[in-house]
Amino acid sequence: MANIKDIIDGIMKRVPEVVGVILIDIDGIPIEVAGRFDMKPEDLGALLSACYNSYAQVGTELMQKLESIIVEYGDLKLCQNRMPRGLLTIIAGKNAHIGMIRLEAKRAIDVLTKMMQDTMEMRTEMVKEMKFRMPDSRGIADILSRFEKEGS
Amino acid sequence: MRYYGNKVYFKILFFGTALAGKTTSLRWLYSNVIPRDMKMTSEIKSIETSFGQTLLFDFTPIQISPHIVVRLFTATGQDYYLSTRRMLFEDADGIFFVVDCQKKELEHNREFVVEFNRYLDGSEKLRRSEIIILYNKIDLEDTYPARELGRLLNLEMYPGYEVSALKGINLRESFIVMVRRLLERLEQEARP
Repeated sequence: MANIKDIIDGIMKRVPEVVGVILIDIDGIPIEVAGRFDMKPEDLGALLSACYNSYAQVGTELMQKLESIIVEYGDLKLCQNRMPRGLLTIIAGKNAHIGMIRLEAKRAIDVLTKMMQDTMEMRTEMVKEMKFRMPDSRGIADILSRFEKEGS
Repeated sequence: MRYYGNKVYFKILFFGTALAGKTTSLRWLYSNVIPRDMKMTSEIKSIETSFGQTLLFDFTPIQISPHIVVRLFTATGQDYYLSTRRMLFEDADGIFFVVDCQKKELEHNREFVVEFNRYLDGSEKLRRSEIIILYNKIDLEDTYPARELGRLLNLEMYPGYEVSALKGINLRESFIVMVRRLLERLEQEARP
């Protein structure tokens, strides 16, 4: 059974011009990344989320719902698409056909949306059953003591 | 807080008037309080205007334990970027409201309190967030003491610290209190 990584990697395999695919939550937390970037996924996620939300805000002012963002750089094209639980961004070379990229995005979003819903339910169960591995009072004290010691 | 993979993510936001000291606070904490091995990126990522003020945000994530990431943001304080500020409040778990204690900034602070209360009124989730007031620039001349300014701005119900972002006075203490509160909340959630 395919997982989120398989879906993301599949886009890169099918479309040779694609150099990267990034799935983030709406707040920019990186969920899955394929391809190589000079930036840390955390930074990239925060920037992509800010871009999308800025354009979404413009849309709100214009009373329009934002569907996707397409950006053309010197050597790259970037296509950003909203999902129910996140944002899918595909980055491709300048010769890539944007129609193909959008088609790939649409197909992936349909599958990822279902997959992420299932994952969320599984995660909720995992947190409930295993109580995650959260710090107890002693663990909290250990973490905070690091801040007390640093540089003082 | 959000769960992805085997990690939980917290979001802490620095909010306040332009030049109140939000970015300076974050930079001081990053340089002086966050241990090197907790830093997930080599620097604070900033989106600035051409004249060097925060346009969208400053951002840095820190990993405080193998399963806990804290994402630190500052919101722009410029009035004309109000619409970009709103989005940063989404899912904030902790908010540092940075208040400029200089007497000449009182009205400007009041405007931001009104904006802040509007966000709180519109979000049950935000009302449950941890809020700490940083009364900044307390080391300057002609400032209000924290208690008096808290009363003037009707922010007395929140815990507050007199700080100097430039000198780092009380920033460490306030940050530790914020992280402690978030972790204690997480601990409570994890209890059977």
